[in-house]
Amino acid sequence: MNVNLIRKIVRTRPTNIFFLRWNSSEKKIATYDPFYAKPKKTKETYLEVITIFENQDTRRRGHVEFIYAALSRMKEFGVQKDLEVYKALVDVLPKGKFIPTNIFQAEFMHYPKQQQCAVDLLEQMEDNGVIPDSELEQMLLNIFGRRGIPLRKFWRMMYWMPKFKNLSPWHLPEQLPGDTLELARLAIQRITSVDPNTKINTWQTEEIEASLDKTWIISAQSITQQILLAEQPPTEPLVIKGPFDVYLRDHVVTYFLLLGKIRPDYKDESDTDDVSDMPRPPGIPGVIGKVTLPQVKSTIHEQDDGTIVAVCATGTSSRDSLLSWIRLLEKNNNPLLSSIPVIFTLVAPPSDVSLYETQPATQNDKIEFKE
Amino acid sequence: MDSHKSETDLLWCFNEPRVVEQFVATCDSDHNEGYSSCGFGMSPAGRGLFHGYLDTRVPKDGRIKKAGYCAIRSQRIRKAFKRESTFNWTIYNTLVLKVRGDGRSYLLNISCEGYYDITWNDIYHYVLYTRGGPYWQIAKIPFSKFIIGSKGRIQDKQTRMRLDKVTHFGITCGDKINGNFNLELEYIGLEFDPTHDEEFAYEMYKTDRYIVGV
Repeated sequence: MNVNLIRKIVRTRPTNIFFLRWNSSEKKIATYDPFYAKPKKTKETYLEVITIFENQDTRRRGHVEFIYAALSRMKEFGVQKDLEVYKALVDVLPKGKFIPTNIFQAEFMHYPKQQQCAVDLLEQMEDNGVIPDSELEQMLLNIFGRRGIPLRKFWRMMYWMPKFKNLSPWHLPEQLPGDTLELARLAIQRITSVDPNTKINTWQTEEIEASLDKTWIISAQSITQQILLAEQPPTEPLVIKGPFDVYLRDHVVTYFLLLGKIRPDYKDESDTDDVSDMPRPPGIPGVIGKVTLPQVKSTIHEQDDGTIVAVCATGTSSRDSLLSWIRLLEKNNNPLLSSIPVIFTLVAPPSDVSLYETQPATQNDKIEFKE
Repeated sequence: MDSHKSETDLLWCFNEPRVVEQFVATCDSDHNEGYSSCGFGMSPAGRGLFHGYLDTRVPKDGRIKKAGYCAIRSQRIRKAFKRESTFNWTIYNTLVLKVRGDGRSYLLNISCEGYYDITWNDIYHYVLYTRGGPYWQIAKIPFSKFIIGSKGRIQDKQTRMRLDKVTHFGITCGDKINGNFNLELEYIGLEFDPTHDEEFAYEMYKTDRYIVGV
């Protein structure tokens, strides 16, 4: 009798009902993603999904999972820099329930998943440079109480983030312009901020009849650079170098340089103590006496790899547009450019419509503006 | 030792490969933690060039949450017989860098020697903003502005750097922007600026107990 009973228990049957249950659950599981279902990815639809979640269940089950899902979808909807959206997400968490009521709860991290979720949300704000405000502080206080970890994170953010917000010496507007021309103008302004005399011109290549590319050119040149260009020896060629990149936050602008020869170093072998023959001082260029500059590297434009005589960014970054730039510079108070040769030394040849028309696009082909 | 007012004493002048080789370049792909790549070599103008590609893609190994850094760091300074030594910068108060960047922001890192193991990851940080373009810029950053962080996390209780125990100097590129970066360095030096009398730049507030630094 006993043996029979043990046999019954020990005997395992593969066709157990439990296994059948496993087998039957092998159907495909499709999770419903409310963010994926939205055809339009905008802030309005994003907030709509949040309100739908809030209203579908009074207990708001799965709100931590929902917030994590929402955080990972922010870039898709383009709302990762929007404080209002973050507040709407924090508002999903229930108020009052997570506030610790005694010291043990406060010490041992009351509702750890929820607190970690809020901290991760705040960290995503920090990574995207969104500074929270006092309303968010109130919301977090109502949810977690002042002993909550998210509150500490919030206070740290409010201490450090405003300190670094406007620290950059080259101010950029909060919202960078979407127009490439305006973006290039900002970039050239930033590059040439070393010389306050720099004049930035926007030219159209249509002004040059021989030009193939019809585009815009943003060219920067100061009076000092004009004099330096006029001083160039006509036998030595000028060099166009580029393309170089300059970053305006996450936008890249390509620029080109017109480089001249560096003036030879001034060698003074005269005896400074000898006062028998005192020469006249050379004078200030353009103001008194001669219009030439003294034979020393006295201007900022004389860098050690050449004298920078002009900077530009063009709409297409093509060779033809750069050729038009030289012609336009010549038109605008640089008459020497008509006689002096110019060499193009472009590191990676940008897409040139006139020359490489039949060639397929290669990796070296640079695009003017990257996302 | 004596430092003259407003005169820069050079620590490293990157005009020959020998000096450039004193730095080690690392990035996240070296540790299988990302896809960035970088190098530190000589530029066409004959200076040090920290260059590479910053990639913030995260490898799908389920372990790494964030990626994208490239860094250079000086090798440990040593005395005779390869004994470890430290820099003593107590007579200076300003870090001077002559750089030519690309408009990105870089992070300056100074590590100090700590006795306890929890202090081994302490690094003092500050931001280096670059203008971009062909012109050199000279950045002067007072040591009083450096922020202490442990493993990259800013700490609540901030302290001034210990300038007599400096072990490493480094520069990081990790501004979360995908793309190429170029930072040309001419020199890194130190200066005593007599007009700068700030001891420490960050005010510390008195808060309730068990809120800060726990």
